[in-house]
Amino acid sequence: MTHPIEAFAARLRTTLAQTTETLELGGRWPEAIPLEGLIAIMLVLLAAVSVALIAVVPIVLVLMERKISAYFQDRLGPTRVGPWGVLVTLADGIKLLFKEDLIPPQADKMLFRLAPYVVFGSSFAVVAVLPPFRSTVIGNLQLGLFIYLAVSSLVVLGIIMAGWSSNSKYSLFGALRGAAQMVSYEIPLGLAALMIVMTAGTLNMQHLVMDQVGGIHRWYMFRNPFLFIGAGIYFISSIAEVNRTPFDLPEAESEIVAGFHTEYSGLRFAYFFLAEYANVFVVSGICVALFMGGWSSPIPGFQALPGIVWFVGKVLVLVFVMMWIRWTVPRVRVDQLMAVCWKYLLPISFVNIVGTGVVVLLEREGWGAELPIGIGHMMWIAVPVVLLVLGLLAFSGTAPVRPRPTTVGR
Amino acid sequence: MSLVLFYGFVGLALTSALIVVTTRNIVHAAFALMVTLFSVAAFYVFLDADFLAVIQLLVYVGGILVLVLFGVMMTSGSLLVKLRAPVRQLAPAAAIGVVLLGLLLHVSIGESPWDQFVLVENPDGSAAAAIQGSASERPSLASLATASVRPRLSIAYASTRAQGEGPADRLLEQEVATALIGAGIQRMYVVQSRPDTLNPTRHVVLVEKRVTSLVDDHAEADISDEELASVREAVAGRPVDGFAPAEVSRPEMLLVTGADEKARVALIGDLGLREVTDVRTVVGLGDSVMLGEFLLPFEVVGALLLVALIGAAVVSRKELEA
Repeated sequence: MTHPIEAFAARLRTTLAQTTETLELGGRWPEAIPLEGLIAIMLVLLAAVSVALIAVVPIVLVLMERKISAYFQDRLGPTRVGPWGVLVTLADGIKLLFKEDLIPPQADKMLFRLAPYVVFGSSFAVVAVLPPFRSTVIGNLQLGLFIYLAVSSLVVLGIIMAGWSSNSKYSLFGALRGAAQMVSYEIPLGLAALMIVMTAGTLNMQHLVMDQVGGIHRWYMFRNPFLFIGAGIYFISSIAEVNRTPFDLPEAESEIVAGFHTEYSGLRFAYFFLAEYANVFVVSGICVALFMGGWSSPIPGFQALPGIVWFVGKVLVLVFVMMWIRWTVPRVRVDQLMAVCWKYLLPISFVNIVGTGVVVLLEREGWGAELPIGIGHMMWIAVPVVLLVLGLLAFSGTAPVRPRPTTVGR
Repeated sequence: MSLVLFYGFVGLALTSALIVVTTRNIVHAAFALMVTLFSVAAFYVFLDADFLAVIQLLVYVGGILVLVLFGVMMTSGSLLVKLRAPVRQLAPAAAIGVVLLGLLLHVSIGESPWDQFVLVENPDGSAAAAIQGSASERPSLASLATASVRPRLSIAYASTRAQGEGPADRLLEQEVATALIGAGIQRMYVVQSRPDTLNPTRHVVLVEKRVTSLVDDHAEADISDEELASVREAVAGRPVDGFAPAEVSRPEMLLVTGADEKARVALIGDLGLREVTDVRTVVGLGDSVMLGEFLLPFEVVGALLLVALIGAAVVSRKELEA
């Protein structure tokens, strides 16, 4: 298996050797370093960096959520700890660390202990595929997007584990809802990602982003209307995947206390909490990489800012939208949740895939090459026109269907 | 380090598999199965089969296992059932186990075609095509000619059981050459890399021959000394007298034979190529192998799994009534 990291390690060793030679430090030690050892060290360093990053991210996001929710509700939010209350999540974290770690006596102890790690681990593992900046090492996995889809589907196992092992009805309900919801919404999510794969012809996140470099019009989201709808579907499904309002049924606090993590306390609860916000960050990051140009600058020709600034900026915008939705929209019912997925998102996804396929085919055949704008951008005009005509044809001459009055108390 | 990891996963897989069959709690069995399936995915990674590993996670761990758990919890009555295996089931179970073990041993010890995949990819990673030569049907290759993308500068890595100068190796090279010419590739350099006898950490790269024509029986075209030197230096990444690497026409195709992992990395690094994805797995999954040569075992295993599934349903149903 030849990963870029191996080539990178080989180059690093060569550079080291050259430097020692130039500086006349003596000795041939760099060449004696085994390549595997070097790779291992680099991997550990990378892992440490990403774990550190991902530990910081939830702290920032939690503060963001608390402040945003406060402003949405005309409150001030946390103000006491640190300037403007910025240290409040740190204080919360320390509080959680020192809380008693309760395990219900009726719980299945081993699975109860294990569940937070499964959720936490699989949420954090997918950080590996994120492309935060232009790099030959980070996020440059041939199967990046695929790995994300696979590993993120492990979260649901952790949720089931937590819900079942707690031996509480609320937890079990939460777990069942979580499993049904996440398994369902994985499908439109995967189909939306598939549209991108069709257009780009790669699963490598770095390659996906590189294909979008050059300004906002290069973003897959704006390439053609199908991908735009795909971006919407992806975003809705990813909100459902991370169990946030309006799809927070697995942890609906007004119905089933706290859902699958009702019985958890202390550090184990903190793991779920961290994983939720890490998940929010990751799904937004994937969405940015897939549809919104990743680390590339949206302004054509403007290259002054480093890629990571754009990446984090775009991710934070998406995270803000998620929080905006959370504090604005009420929770849906279970049947509504399933209806949204199976009756709306899924059929629309299928139509979208056909549409994307047509655009990809036409582009490959060289259609619209002589036009000033690409065939995909032409679709922005064509698709609404077609829809309008179809709509007119379908509804012309038919009387509006009056909804049948419902009888109450039958 | 990878060896330690490997045996770690072996231990994990075996222990969890043991738990699956010995535990009396159906949910414990399901979660232990999760660990087993995860370890199997890890094995695929060790086999350089990343794609298969991800498929394993996506389909088995993320899909089927979740459905199993979901089903178990929906039928909540069975949650508290204590599973037990009646003694009368021992004999058929042992028989099936022995048969399956025999099948596995036959596949893993006997000669398998899985070792002889050759992979080809464009340096920009844009497309991959692969050729597969199997021991039993030598001349028929899932030919590159059908691939929609033609590799320009690529490295093919032939992993054969008989590495080195053996006749099997030769034959494979010729097959690869055939397929490449079918793909419209005119020039191929066969590069052999083997450890330097004086300094084992380095690898000697030998440019052996160039194939220009497929048509006349895989004839090896003549190659002048200068050309040989230039290609050799292009591979080594160093300029030689009269031939700067830039001037050297890059080979359209490199076939690296007998190279071990490190040598492959070094070669790719020297040439400034991107990584070569191991498409072996993609090929194996894709077309020929699974649905060609192994169609019968594949179907048999499928039928067995179906029977096992129905059997499991029947068995658990009986337990419920009892």
